[in-house]
Amino acid sequence: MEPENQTLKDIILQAKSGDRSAFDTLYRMYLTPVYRYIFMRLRNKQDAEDVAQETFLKAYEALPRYRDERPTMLPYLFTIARNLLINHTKKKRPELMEHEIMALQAGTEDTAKEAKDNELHGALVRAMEVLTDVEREVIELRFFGERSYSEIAVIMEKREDAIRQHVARSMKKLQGVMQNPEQMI
Amino acid sequence: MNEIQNNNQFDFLSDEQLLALLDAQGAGKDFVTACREAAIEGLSEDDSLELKALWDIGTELHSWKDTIVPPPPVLDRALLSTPMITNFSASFPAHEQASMNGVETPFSLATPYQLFLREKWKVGAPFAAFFLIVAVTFAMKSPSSRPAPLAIATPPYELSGKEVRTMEAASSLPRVALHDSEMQDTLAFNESHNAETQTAPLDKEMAKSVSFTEDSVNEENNVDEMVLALSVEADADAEFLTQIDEDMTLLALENETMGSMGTTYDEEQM
Repeated sequence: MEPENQTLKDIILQAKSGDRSAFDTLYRMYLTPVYRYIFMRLRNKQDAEDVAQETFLKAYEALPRYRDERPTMLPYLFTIARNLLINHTKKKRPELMEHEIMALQAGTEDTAKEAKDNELHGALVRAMEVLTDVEREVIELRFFGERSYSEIAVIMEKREDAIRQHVARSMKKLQGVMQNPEQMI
Repeated sequence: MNEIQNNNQFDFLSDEQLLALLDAQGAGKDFVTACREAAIEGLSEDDSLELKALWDIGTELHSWKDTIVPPPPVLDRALLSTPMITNFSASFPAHEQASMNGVETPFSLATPYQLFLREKWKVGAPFAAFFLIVAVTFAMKSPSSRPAPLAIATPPYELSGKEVRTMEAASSLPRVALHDSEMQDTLAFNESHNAETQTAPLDKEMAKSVSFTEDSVNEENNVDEMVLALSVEADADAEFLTQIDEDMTLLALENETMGSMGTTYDEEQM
């Protein structure tokens, strides 16, 4: 549960002034959505951990220059993560392999339910391949990063209505592909 | 390009309605409630199925998201492999500034190793001192480092004939060794001697010889002590007699002096 807006602003201000425990609080608060977004982009657990760590390091490094007055640092963190991901994927473009799809499941126990989940997730990952890069990123930010349309617009440097349109169109595409898998080829 | 022709998809649904439906889903609403909130009404059965399929995709995306959790090690595995922040300057408290030089990894990002390094003077020093003391104590008491007992080397004085004989007699017997090498020889001798004792009866002549030698050494030691005691007594007697002679001489001298003085006094009184 996130603190109140004023409390969040205070925490961010304290972190800016060098309070390590304040930054620690922000780190614990924001790690999960940032990590999920990075993980979905890279589809590799180890790389996702590395990029997530680097994201927070960069944020900590640039914190004195942080000027955003909003009671959240998530757009800022997602922007850093996104830039790191662009550099990362230039070096190592993710390839959608079957074993990687199976590895996307974060659970460790191979129960029957998780196997079924893996199957569904695999189908969904394959379906997402039909989306354009922008559409896929919009979906990842919306569902895995849990960002609002306005925040996604800031992160991706686009207009909010364009983002809304991308989300709607992407979901329709996904539904069409899931119903007719042959469209993926 | 993987463009999907979906012009004929969801003609009954505007983008805003679809987004409202997804928002309601994200808020935890059920399908019917979400449709009502999104003002989606009058759908045919096919449209409903199509919309339900899209709803399920949204549900799947949300459930998938929940399975992606950063593993605990990511919090602490941290930044061993990543470079430390070098150009960060912030106003840390003064007591921290001195040890940080303006560069510090936040607590949750730091590894236990880094924390240990930070606290090494507080945590490590007492343990190091303790183990050092224990190690030194142990080293001093270990047999290998213990100094050898003082060896009896060749005496710096001439031995008398009796002493030489006594030492020769004593060295012929099994005894407590003074040198480590002698200790080894003696132990070897004792072991072989014991083995012989267990396997064969001791030679009587040898036993007698050993016994005789021991007796003779003991006798010689006794004689030495007696001679020493007598000589001490004789010396004491001589001193005593000399002292008596001196005392007697002094007494006679005093009497003589007193006698002469007494005569003079008497003569004066008279």
